[in-house]
Amino acid sequence: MRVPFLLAAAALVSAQASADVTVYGKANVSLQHADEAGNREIELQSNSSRIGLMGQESLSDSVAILYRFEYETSVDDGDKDGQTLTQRNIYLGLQTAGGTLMGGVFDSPLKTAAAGVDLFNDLEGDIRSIFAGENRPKNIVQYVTPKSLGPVTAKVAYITKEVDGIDGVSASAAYKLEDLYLAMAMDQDVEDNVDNTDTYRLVGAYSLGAFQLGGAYEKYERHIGSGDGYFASLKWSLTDQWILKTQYGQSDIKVEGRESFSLGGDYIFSKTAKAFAYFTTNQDDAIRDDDYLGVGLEMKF
Amino acid sequence: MRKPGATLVAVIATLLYGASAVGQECEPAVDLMESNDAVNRIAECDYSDEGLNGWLQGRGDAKPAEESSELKASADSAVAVGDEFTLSRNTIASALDMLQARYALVRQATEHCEGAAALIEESYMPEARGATGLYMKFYCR
Repeated sequence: MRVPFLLAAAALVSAQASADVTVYGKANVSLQHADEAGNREIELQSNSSRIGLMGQESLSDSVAILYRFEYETSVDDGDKDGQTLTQRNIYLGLQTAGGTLMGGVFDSPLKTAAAGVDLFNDLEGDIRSIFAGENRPKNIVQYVTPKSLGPVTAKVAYITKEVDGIDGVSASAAYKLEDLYLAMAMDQDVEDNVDNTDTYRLVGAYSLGAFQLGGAYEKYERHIGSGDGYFASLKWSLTDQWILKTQYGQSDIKVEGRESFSLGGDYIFSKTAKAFAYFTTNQDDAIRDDDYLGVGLEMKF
Repeated sequence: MRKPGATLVAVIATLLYGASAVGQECEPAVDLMESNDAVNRIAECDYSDEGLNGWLQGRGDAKPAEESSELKASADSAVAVGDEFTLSRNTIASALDMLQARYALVRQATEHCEGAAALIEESYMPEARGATGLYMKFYCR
């Protein structure tokens, strides 16, 4: 299945070079020693490796159509939920001076609000282990404010009731100017496909020379209770090649007393290739007492 | 005393002005697509020559570099010292093509001259689909 996809991609790019079709993706593979509550093993992990097509084409001076078809592939064993490729972010949208309206299946505004702050995204230290709201809903329609608003990007998304009979709403407002990034976001009835769930998230990041500081706070409410949590991250670019990073989070949202701590380093070969190493420990009061130590390689294209 | 509303407007105006002056470097496409404002930035970055796109473009457009016919008529005849002539290759789609084309033209020039071939000028012309034309002007000395 992979070969026909690539051939199709090649044909598309070759045939429509002027239509700004971009093939993109990344392969991210790590070899890790996992100690999950005493159960130890060596694992090869494909950390959300993916391939996609995206592009934008002008329909007139003021209207453009944009699209994205992104699929995940498992570089470790070739099997992702029984498939070679599974859908990630898929959408088709219309962009005007008044903003972008798009529909499909894609990351919610609340999820994308934390993009770039989670330094161990797609690894064992991903904030999804402590936070709710890391969702990619299906049947979602979203409005995004136009670029003319400068540093402000706001999104409002409506998730139809097709899948579970429950309408959901997700929204965010972000401010990005040079080294500062601030965002607030909320979900209503998106998490767990049940009624009366609300998620609120505040995100911030600031770059100061060789350092990048980041963090987030989240509150999750549902009819049987609520919880909150936070995480903080620090990235230190020692040189152009070496990066050190760490992240700590604590939350009662998923399980009481869950903590996640990660420490890692990247060696940058180029803009598109890096090697990395990491240690992550995820623990809580009830279920998890897990440690992971790994090394990996990432290639972006 | 300044009204709070006017202060707020002034702050927002300052921030918006500051942002308009800030340019953003294009990260790899996969990172751009993960960013919060991806849909507003797709048009900013040209990835047509990067990564897999460059390779696919090259394969899609790759044709053997076309030799100029300018010299063919006279290539077999001896050329006097001091004569100038131009050789060219069209539809060069990659760095490797460029190296090969330059090598071929230099070799062709040395064969053309009875003595040494000296380069006077080397120029490049943009062609369709991102390809490049190479022009090399020599004289025989």
